[in-house]
Amino acid sequence: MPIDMRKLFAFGVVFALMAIAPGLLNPYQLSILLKILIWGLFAMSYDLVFGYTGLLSLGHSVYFGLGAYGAALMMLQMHPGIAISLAAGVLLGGLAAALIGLLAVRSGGHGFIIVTAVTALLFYLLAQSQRNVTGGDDGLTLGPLPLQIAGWSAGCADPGPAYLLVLVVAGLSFLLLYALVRAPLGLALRCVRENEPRAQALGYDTITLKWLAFALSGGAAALAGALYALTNCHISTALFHWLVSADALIWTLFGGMGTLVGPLLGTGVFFILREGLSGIWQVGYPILVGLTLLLIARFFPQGLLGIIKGLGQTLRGFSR
Amino acid sequence: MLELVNVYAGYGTGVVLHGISLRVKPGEVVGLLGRNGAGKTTTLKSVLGLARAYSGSVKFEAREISRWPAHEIPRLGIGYVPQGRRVFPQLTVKENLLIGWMKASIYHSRLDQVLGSFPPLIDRLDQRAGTLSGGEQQMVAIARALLMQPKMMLLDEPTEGLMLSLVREVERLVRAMKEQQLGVLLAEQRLDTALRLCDRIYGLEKGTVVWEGTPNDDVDDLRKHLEIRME
Repeated sequence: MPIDMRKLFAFGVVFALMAIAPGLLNPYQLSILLKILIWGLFAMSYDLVFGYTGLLSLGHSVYFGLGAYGAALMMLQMHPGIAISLAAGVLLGGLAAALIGLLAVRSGGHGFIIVTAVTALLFYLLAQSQRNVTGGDDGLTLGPLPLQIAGWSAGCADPGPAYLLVLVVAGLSFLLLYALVRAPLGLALRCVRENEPRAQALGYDTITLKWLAFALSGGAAALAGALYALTNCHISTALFHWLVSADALIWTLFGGMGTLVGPLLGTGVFFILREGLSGIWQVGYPILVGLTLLLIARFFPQGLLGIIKGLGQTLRGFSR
Repeated sequence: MLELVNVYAGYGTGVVLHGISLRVKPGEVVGLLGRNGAGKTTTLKSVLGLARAYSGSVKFEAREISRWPAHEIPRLGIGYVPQGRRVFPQLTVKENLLIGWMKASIYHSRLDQVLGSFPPLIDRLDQRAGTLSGGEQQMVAIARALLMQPKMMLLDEPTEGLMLSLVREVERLVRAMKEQQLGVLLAEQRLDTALRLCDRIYGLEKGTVVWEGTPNDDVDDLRKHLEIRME
């Protein structure tokens, strides 16, 4: 399918704005933007399986967690540099997703949710039990990212160049995922989501398609996890918990499922909303966040992106 | 080209077809007539591997396909226009067509060539298929199947719920398929449509063939037997 030049231009503008953010924001604000990028990448990976293929996974925390631990352990044990550590995380998480996917995509409907939820539970308990490797609840502590750009080094409180690294990796991943969903594969996945028997009747091997989406999505989730481990200075077994998968589900629904941009937007607005609301009402902010989510789910099932598109259409209607 | 011999098929443990035998030759339009629940759809689905054949044989071009996985059967050149909601509603018309075209065995046909047979669709390529009228959705489903360049078409009640002018349009398309030497297996409730289009007709009841003949035979018997509405 042809590439939409307007969208590519919009991506360029947003990317450029984010690239100059370190000059405009204080270290704390920058660290929030860094988190938005990482968790946004996680939400986008989730969207590939949930939004495009129609598979509700509660096990994506496993691949985020494996990505994080793969990268962290590689960094702590071998000190091989950033690229190899990231690759180790992606490989570990991606391979696990490819293997678990073989079983998961064969169990349709509710079976898929159960299988993925059980894998999350299993890996969480496994990680908890292997304290000498994972650090259990206390987790592992890493030093700051060994990265220096023009004399500017990364710290744990001030991400600095770590932010730029994450921006580049997340930007490339976004372009890759975008190309993927625009390719014939993406179209085939959406057919599986809408009507699996019908896709089969058109000659599509739906099991293989679902597996491919699951494995690729797991790999992208692992990349997000690996970035998290290397830039956060600390990871723990809580990353494996199924609630982490539920977060991705919420952000995806919040932003607009099956759009790729939506989940990233959802994550961003969610984080900023949480920051803002927690300043106003320290104890009650989860209630406010929950209420906002409920309202959006009830009245705007297409999520934030749906609201924005709706507003755009209304405005164009007025200008006529 | 297609031959079913004594096929017992169904879903899970429920047997719907009790020993169906039929055959379709290239360039032949064969009708499957019967009331709701007679087994018309299940017969088509047993060919496509979407319903399980417990016993009997399903052969396409002399290959036994009753044990094949569902997704490999269309690749042999069997197009399918399902009943009811026939399109992927959230996808645009163009995407609905592309999904068929991507599976074409030979890529020589161009999208606009096929679209030439479907003038109303040309202006609606970017519209969501779910927002089209029933007749237009039917056109999309038929165009999608044709883009796969099939040797044979399975049509499941293609005129159901369409107004008369569109019924005529569908009939025109089926005749065009016949002219191109496609084998057509047509599940139908309208006797008049079936009589106009088909070379041969099988009457189904409770999953068995109860009548077999041509439109020139005495169809009063078939009509009475199946209590088919004349419209």
